[in-house]
Amino acid sequence: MFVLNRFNLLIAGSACVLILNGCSFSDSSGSISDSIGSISDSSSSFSGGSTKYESDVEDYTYAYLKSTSGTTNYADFQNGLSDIAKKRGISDWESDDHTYKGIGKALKKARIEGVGYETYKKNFGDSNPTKMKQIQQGYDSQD
Amino acid sequence: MKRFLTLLAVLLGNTANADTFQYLYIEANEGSSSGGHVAVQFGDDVFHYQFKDGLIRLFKQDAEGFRFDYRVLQNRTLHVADVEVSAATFSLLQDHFKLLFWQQDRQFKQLQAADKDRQLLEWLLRSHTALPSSRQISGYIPHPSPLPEGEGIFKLPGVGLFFNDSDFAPVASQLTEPHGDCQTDASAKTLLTTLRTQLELQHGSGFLQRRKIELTTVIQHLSAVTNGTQGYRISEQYTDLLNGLLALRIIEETRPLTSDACHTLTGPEGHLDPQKTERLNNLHRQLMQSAQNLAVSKRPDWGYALLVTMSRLVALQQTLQSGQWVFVDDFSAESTVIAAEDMMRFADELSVQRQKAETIWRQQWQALGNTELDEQHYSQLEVSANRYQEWLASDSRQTLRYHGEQALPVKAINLQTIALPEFSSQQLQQALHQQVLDTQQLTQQLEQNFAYHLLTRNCVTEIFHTINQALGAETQQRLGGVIDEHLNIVPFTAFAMVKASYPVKHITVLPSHRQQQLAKQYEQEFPPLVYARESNVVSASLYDYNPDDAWFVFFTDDALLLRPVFGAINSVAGVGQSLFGLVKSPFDEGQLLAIGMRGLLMSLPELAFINMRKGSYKFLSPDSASQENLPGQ
Repeated sequence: MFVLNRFNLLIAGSACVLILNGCSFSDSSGSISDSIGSISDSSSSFSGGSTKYESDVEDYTYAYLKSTSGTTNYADFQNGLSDIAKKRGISDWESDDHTYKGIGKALKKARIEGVGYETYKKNFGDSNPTKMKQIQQGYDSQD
Repeated sequence: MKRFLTLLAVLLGNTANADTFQYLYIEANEGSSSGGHVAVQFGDDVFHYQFKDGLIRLFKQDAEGFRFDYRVLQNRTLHVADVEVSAATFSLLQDHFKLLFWQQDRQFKQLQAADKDRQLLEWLLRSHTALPSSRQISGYIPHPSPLPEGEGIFKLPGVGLFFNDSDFAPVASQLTEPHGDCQTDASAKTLLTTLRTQLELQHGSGFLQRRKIELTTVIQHLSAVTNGTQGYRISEQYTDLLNGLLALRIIEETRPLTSDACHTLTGPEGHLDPQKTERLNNLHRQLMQSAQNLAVSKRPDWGYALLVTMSRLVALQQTLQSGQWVFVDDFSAESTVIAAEDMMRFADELSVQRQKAETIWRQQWQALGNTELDEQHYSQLEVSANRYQEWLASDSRQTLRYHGEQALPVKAINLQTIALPEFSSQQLQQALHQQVLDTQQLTQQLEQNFAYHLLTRNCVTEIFHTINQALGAETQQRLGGVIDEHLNIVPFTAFAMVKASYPVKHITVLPSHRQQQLAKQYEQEFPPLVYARESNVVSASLYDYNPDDAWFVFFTDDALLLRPVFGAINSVAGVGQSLFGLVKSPFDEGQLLAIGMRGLLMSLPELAFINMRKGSYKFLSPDSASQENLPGQ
């Protein structure tokens, strides 16, 4: 009986150890990213990079639109875009079509229409006809 | 019966337009997530919650990298449940995880930025007292001295590609200059003179001077008053403006890259035929246009982007002129460095990686002629070249920067007082007070929303919470069951719950790297001999001691009956390492003692038949893992 109790205690203790140490620590995220670096360096990884970048821009813009009430702080928004572009090796994201197409897709996903859409298109596109056209292309591609 | 009918309805409803997401359960091992881990996968993206600084945060990882890290490097078996749902349900779940990820990411960045604001204001306050009054509100100062207390607190990313800290030292010998063989004087002069001429053609003569005055004025009139807890922060504004100012100064002075900012790949590799030269010329033209656009851009961080673009242009110019590849050094200052001792210990694994680095670099530059080169493509080429060059350099240096290559170079210098905002001490003190309050408010908000709790908010509960939140009242209808996040807190039992509650179409078990290799050996050799040899770290051919693992003797993942005995021996090893660590603690700050204690702790569950010790791998590359073991299989 005494032995059985001690064994139960051991199991309970062990379970506690497991639970106490449960969940991954974010240290591992570093190694994950590093692993990606070591894996994806093949010539094939060139393809699809732009698609992933555009998708990240879309998701980021959508989240920004959903969580920002009132006036949009465009400098803050653009800093976020820079962070995304930086991870993909793009410094001049303003010259990349995928940036504005991604923004257009996000505007559509957020169901922004009419005057609201035109205002966003003008501000995100910095009133530049080419950028605004790319936003429109992204927006229309979601139909 | 009711439950069966619900499941049937979900499955039948899904067949018309079905999609599949994966629920992943990762087995326990020593180290982080020693109790196991869970994640969900939508397409190429894996979402999982991790513990960081007392908070539980959502991370998004590339599926390939995630599986390689956990299955190969951390040597854990993965259990993958394919959950078949309708396309609409899939979208709802995927969109919700993405939305939460980006929203959280922004919130944590806001906290970081608020903390940086506080540091900047403290630094400026100190600079007020440190500088003589004649230089306090001086705007642009040609060659001022850095403030001693400001060093190291703030960095100017990208500026280090053209400036050293010593360029701003009041006395030439105060700081030693880094050494390197990056000589780009002629290329930089040609390139930056052209850029300056083009800018002046487009925007009038004196453009650079006007733009510099404009930036200096903006810096002088920066507002110390923060706009709540959101928005474009003063620390970001200040560093962005300084970066811009210094980028313009580089063009004006036609500064070359610093001596350690680039390297040349010598040797027969990388010969530039006319087709490749044409590609590089096209890229050169693109980047030149970008540099011109960035110099007048309205985006806040145009200065950093211009620094990177100019550095790459100089490297390209040098490449085209010399016919040999020149690349900007893209390693971050925080890169992991492998010491000479580890280079020798893991020589076999590392040689595979070296070979791979060389192959990838060769493949990439050889493929150059086949495709048009854009900036993103060039970034990958730059990373590959850096990795290969680092291996070459390690031959003479005996150390290796391992990981830490950046998609965009970030070489930074310390914040320099080349221009200061016109704040009075009183304004700074008030702003600092407000800033401390804002930071506290943000911290409290984050703690309230994301505080880790062992039983109520961990990596398992948050996955189910997010799923239930995404589908709301329709969870039962869409998934065939609702898993209560309050009752399912352990990875192992939660996986059983997923199998029982959700429409799981298929379960795949992906054995850990060692298990996979072991299975092959069992097929090819005499099994008892394999078991005897591979059961312990002393004679194992599939495992070399990894210093990240605490001492242990026996692997217990394939020894169910003997597990308590092996566990007892592993515990003794843990005690031994702890005692050794105790003796060594005055010299290593107790690091070995902590590892030994962890080893002991990890071996205790084995006394109760719970497997923990599997070992892990530090330098395996996908090439050295078997094909079946590659991520995604």
